[in-house]
Amino acid sequence: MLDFLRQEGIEEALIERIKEYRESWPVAEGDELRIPTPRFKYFGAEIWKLAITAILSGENILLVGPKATGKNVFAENLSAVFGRPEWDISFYLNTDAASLIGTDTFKNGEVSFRKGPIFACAEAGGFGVLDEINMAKNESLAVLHATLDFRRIIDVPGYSRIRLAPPTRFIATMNYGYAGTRELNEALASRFMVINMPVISGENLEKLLAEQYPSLKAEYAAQLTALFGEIRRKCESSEISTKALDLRGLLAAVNLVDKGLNMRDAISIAIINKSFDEFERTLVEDIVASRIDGKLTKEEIFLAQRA
Amino acid sequence: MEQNFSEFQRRRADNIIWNCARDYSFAPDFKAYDSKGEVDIYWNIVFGAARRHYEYEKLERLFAMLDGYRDSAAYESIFWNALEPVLFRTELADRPVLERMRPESAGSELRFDETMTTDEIVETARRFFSERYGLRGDGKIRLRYRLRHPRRVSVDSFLQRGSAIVHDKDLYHGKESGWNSDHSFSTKMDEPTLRAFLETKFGKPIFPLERVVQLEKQLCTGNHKFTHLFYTDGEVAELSGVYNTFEMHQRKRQAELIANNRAYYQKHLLQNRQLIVRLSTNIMNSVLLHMQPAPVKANAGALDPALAWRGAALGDERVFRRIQNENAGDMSVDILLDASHSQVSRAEKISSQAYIISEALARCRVPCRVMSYCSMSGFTVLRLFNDYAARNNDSIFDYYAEGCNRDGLAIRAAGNLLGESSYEHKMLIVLSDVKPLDGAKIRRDERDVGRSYDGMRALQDTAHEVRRLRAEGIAVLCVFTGDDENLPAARMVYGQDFVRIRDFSYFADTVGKLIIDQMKNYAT
Repeated sequence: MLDFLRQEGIEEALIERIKEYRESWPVAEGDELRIPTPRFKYFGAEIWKLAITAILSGENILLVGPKATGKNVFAENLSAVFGRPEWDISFYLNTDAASLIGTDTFKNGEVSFRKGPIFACAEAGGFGVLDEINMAKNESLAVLHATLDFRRIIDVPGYSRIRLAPPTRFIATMNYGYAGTRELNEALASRFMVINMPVISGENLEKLLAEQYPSLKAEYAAQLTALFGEIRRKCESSEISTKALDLRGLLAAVNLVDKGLNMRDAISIAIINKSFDEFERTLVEDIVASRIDGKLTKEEIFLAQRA
Repeated sequence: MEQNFSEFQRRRADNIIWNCARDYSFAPDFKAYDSKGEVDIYWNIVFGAARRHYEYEKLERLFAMLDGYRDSAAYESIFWNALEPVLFRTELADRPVLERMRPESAGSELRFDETMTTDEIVETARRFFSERYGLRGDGKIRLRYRLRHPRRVSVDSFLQRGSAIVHDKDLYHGKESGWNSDHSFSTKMDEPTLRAFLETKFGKPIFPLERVVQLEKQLCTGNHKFTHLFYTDGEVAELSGVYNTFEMHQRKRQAELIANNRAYYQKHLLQNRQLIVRLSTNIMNSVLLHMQPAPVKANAGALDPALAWRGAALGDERVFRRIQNENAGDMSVDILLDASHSQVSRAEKISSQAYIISEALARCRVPCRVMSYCSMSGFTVLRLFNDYAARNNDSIFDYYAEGCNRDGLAIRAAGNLLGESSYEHKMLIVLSDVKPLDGAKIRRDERDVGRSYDGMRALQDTAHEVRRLRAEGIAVLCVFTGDDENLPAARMVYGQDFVRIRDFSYFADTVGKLIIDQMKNYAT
């Protein structure tokens, strides 16, 4: 992973400090399994630099960006780069203190405390990924205030008060203006360094495709990238919703073709069908049809034989 | 001919053309459909590519010239068939797929090549049409050509697969009339006289003057200092205050337009009724889906240990809990319609659609109130059509657009009215082209000459008001009716919470979707 950072053009000084960090905080036995090995790499030196510096300075970070900007990929990449065990905590409407910190449970005939993910993460000095933090109600997040700011503590009424292990960091993600999301209140937002995730550039998307599917012919990588750009432009001009703007879908489509589907079927199930509105689906189909030949198969879009 | 193709197919064609032109800021003129009336993807790509590779205004001038002839469609086909191979070769690098999509070329005597500039293409085409068909360029054909004109040139002979190129000619003349600054009365009138005038024009005020003065003190501050408010429900006052013949004329026109609104609704009665049913079913489904589960005491269900003693000790059998779904939260919807001059051309559609929404919501027992706003002579007039109990829905057809729009103050005043209601979840949907503009200036004090309420200043003011209402917990959403160039303004004022409609037939549907989305937020 560190080599990848060098490739991306991150300064050696920063990389040195990451190494120091890793060496100062060895991972406890049993937690290594939680250190992710990312399937996708995040491309974008600027963002890397911001996040690495913030984490090295002891800050928590909040990744904000629209759909398909790689927020979760990046969070996972960060855990991998810093070599920390990761706890993924998905926020939803009914997320409450108990589901974050912990709750009472019955064990050997007596009531005892069952650790929640935040608690476990804080003990192990891991990276807690707070996914879609603005899906939860602000009130239920108030319990995290002391955890996220300079106090760095978790106080469980009736049990104990623990300090966060020094390497603990929280990486929150949010998609502003997504259906069902709400405004993040100031108290919570002020406890994070906020990084605006840019839309993936055409160049980086081609890199990503090439990295994922080394044998994909460059011309088709370029066509898929252009297709993605066109769908985005259509979303931006409010002609369609962002349902079809799906980076995961695009990558999956290539994989499906690799496994034997033809291009039309692959793109249909991976991208087009994500719009459930018939009219919208037709518009997306039209963009696809004006770029990609549906009959294309594995033999045509991949280089002859892979090693 | 355009009417033969469904709205659906037309929008598909538009979208392909925009996509290929990489520009969403124009209304496509040429569109292609196949014999079944479905869009022809290849030809629409060609039209889009022409926008991208050539200076389209120059081509438009050529089309305008051809337009003067009876057989213009045929000449246009000749032109496009000549340009198609060039665009095909230019576009191929970007879209290799075209190779497989391209139909057999019809060929054309007119020839262009890739090296030509727009001017050269136009010039070549003009020369060709002049020499081959004798077009003089002024709608006339030279005599000798007329005689040996073989037959009426048929469009079909030039196109493949029986497709049709449709030229949406209205677009050349379809420019919307802008705001008309001509006002029928002088602002030199004093406030009471103006109030009397507005009363005859818009209807009796609903609040006593003392209350209005109080409200003005509270609302007409900051950027809106020295402006006034006028609230009415449109109950007709006597026509005694008609000031001059011009006003008489205006009044007559207003009555005609209002009659139009009703006629328009009646004309599409069947569709409208269907729309109401569909919309209310959709909303009702959403209501049912998001009902609040509330545990209630019952005499059957899951035993509640905390209540169990009551059974034994008091003989109270209601020691069980049952989950009962209650209504979808306590919510209200307010629709604020822009009634400034810019909406005149679509007044009938707006009123129909607003009526449809409030009827649909009434059927779902969701309280819905419709208001409109406009400004003149320093007054911002807020007209309330119906109330939350859906009484008086019929008066929505009295919607009439006139004057300017001081969006900031209108939203502030509407928000104030909303503040008085006791519903838990309030939603304000603003229909607007997000072009706030008012003649009354922004003045700090009596002596200040002031700055005009328009452009960026007015937008910022409106954006500020929207944010303020949101901070109070009111969901403010916008249905945007403007054009592309105004899109950034809408984004600035309403953030992500706006939807754009290009066609008014979608207004009710769009609002329905907004309401349903919002309900999902509330219900949980």
